[in-house]
Amino acid sequence: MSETAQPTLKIYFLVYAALMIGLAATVGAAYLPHGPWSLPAALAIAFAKAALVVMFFMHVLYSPRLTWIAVFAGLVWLSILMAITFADYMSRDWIPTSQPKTGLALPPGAESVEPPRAAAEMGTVDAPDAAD
Amino acid sequence: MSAVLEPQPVPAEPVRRQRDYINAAYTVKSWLLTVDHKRIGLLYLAGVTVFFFIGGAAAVLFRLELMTPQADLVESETYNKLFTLHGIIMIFFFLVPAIPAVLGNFLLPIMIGARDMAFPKLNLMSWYLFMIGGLFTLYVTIVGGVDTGWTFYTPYSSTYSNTYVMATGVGVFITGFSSILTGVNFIVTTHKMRCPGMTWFRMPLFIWSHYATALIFVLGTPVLAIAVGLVAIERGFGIGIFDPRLGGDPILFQHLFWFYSHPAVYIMVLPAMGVQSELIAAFSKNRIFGYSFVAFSSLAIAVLSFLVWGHHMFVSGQSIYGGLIFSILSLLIAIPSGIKVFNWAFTLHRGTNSFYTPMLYAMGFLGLFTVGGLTGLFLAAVGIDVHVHDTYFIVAHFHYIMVGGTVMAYLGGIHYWWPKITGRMYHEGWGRFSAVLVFVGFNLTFLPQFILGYLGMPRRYHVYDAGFQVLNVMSSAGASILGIAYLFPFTYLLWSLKYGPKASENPWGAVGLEWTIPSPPPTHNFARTPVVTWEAYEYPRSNPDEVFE
Amino acid sequence: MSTPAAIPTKFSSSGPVVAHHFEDWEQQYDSCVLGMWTFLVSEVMFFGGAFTTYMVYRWSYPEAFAHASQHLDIYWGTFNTFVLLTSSLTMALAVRAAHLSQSRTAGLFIIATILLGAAFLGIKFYEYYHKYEEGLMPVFGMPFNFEGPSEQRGPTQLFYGLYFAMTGIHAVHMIIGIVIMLLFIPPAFRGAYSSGNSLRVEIMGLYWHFVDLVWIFLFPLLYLIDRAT
Repeated sequence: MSETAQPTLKIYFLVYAALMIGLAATVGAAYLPHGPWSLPAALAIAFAKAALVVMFFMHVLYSPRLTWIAVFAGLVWLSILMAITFADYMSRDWIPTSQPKTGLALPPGAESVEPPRAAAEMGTVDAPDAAD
Repeated sequence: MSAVLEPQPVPAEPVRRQRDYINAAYTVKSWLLTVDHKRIGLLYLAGVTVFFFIGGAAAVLFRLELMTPQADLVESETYNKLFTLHGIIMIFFFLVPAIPAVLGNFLLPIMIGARDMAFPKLNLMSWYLFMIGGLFTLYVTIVGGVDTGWTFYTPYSSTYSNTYVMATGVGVFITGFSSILTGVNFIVTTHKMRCPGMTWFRMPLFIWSHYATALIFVLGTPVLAIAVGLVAIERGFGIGIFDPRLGGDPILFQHLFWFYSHPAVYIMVLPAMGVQSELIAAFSKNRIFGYSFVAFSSLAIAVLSFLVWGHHMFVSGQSIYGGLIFSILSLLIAIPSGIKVFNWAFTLHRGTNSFYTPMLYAMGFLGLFTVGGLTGLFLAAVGIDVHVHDTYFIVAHFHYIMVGGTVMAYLGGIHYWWPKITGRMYHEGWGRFSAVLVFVGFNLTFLPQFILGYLGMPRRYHVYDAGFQVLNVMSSAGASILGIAYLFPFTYLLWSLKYGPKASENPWGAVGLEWTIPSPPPTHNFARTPVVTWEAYEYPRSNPDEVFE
Repeated sequence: MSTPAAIPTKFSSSGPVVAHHFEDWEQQYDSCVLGMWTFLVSEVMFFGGAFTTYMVYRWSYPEAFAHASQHLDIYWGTFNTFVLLTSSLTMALAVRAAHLSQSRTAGLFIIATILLGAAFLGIKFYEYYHKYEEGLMPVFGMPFNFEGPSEQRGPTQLFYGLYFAMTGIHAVHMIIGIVIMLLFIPPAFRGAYSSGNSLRVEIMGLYWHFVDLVWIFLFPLLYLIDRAT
């Protein structure tokens, strides 16, 4: 069960080269006009780079099944957190109400909001508790 | 395995004191720098007991205030600080660690035939993180406390509260790492340190529960850490993250917070269910009915617990469609819990039942957890929840599970394994009396609260409509009985350390690896690594012709 | 081509050292690797909460986030990413050297990793200082020098708040990693990471690669939202 297989030196350098290409690609993609594809493209390249690091630098490709399960569990649980949280935000304005149809929005009149310094001067954050 | 014996609390002949993990060394340093999982379990026992009584003291104070409809005992802000203190201490410093860190640490390696946990030094570090976080939070309480409620809702906690939110957040953050590292230890130990022959399906259900709990520790606690961490950063650095004036969303904090805090309640109840399985099996001298169903239910509860957090947020401004999905999933998660309850009940049926103190606690758990769980079903339905959210109905619901469930199981477990842990037997008469008193006090405290909540009394208020007073007085009276009832075990268990009869290896005649080693066990648990060839709970069937599966 | 590994509590030249509570080195190795992976899963969830926060706000305020992102220095950010990826390579090579019982080489690669990590942090703090000078550090109530449509002001502050919080937490993780790696240098040059006692370096490698992984996502999400306009 304990693995002794390791990537070879050549594989390490190939992976490094691929990571560099990925870095160039992700920076380059940002400069191309891409419209709504900005996020998917960036994430796709990031996932590809991450997969290389995980599989080769972290040896997961050569690791026992339990390690793979741990990696997938992390990804699945992160997806649960993000997906269900997003499901809330994306479905908030599905229901017809008299409220304005926005996910999040600034409160009315927020354009004139000062940065938190104003809050401190109002004396609400500047509390007698020096420990905070 | 030896034939099952009748319980023999008093051994037939004096037991010669062997070298065990307690008398291995007597110095303070040998305790504070121990890496023995059994000693660490006892260190946790000391810690959680202190925190339990402090959290209980806060409850005494606010239950006193609630005897009258007016605000006469404490000011508003003090009242807010009291229930916040009660929640934070009881949840983070008692309920979350109690069974896993005390009984889990002590028993998990023994039950799987191992010499220690996978990472003994990490185990000790977990305890120090727990104590540092807990003592720091206590200190913060003394110098002023926090009044946000244990839920730290933004933007009150991040922007407007004038109390020590950031410091308390730091204390909770530190303690969270204790949980995460304990979870890592449990998972790795269960996967890698089982003795030969101890397959997954021969393990006691206590282990399955703690493994499932450990999964939640590892997957959920970090999200609490970042939630509380971001609030602390927001307060400490003046950064806006949940600030609505900048377009931030306070509900986002609730998503992060409840993503942990809902699974957290299963952290609090799964180990209790594990204890329950052990108690029911031991005192009905019967295999647990549907072992694999109970095992898989533990895992199912752990997984499903991460999908239902929005049921705490039905009225927060969350999307209604989200609310519906959370509602359906919350109803579904009752199924594995229900399976367990049925299986315990079936185990009792056709068992040879005896009613020693641990069994009395187990019976209490069975009934009270069921009430708590059923009321949870009511709350999972959005239509009911919108009316009783933030009322005493909720308070009663979770206390039925946390106190009627977890604390009863904890006490049952402490009594059951007391002879193993200490080598002494407690006084059975006092044990039974206290169990009954706890049951009576508990119900008198919390049953009226269901009615109060249903009638509309809000939680976290210290003034209320005069019409609610009778029920409040009943609840406070029950609380005083409950408080006194908890003092009894504290007293007679301590008393037994010096004056209790010495316990034999297996005073209950139970089946399990922990009952094959001396009481108290030697430091390395087993003289020789056991080789397991028998199934879990191999009690002789009382009627060999009956085959349940 | 590489020697099996084991955990050191102390090192001996006669083979991997096994701690007393483990049956054999294989159990020790498997346990330690699984233990670090389990911990890394918890770290995924920790950063995941922050990433979720970021994604919700980016989805809600796309223009403000895109404009704010353009004020981050892409040259330093790209160079920093290069530095960190290279440190991942040196870390992997350190682990490999330890597996091959080349303890001194492993020590040299660990030093390289530390230097690259320190360079990353140096550049990061320079970037922070630059933001402070520009008045784009909405911390401690400092003046927020915002130019743009007024309805983007608040969300831009959210962006910067998250930028500092997330890169700050990432930096803390790097500092912890560097401190622990510093402790590995003397044993490395005393020949500790040989005869199969490479487990400690391997575990450290897993942690360091994870820190790199976080940055692989942080960089495009923070710096590269939209450079086309």
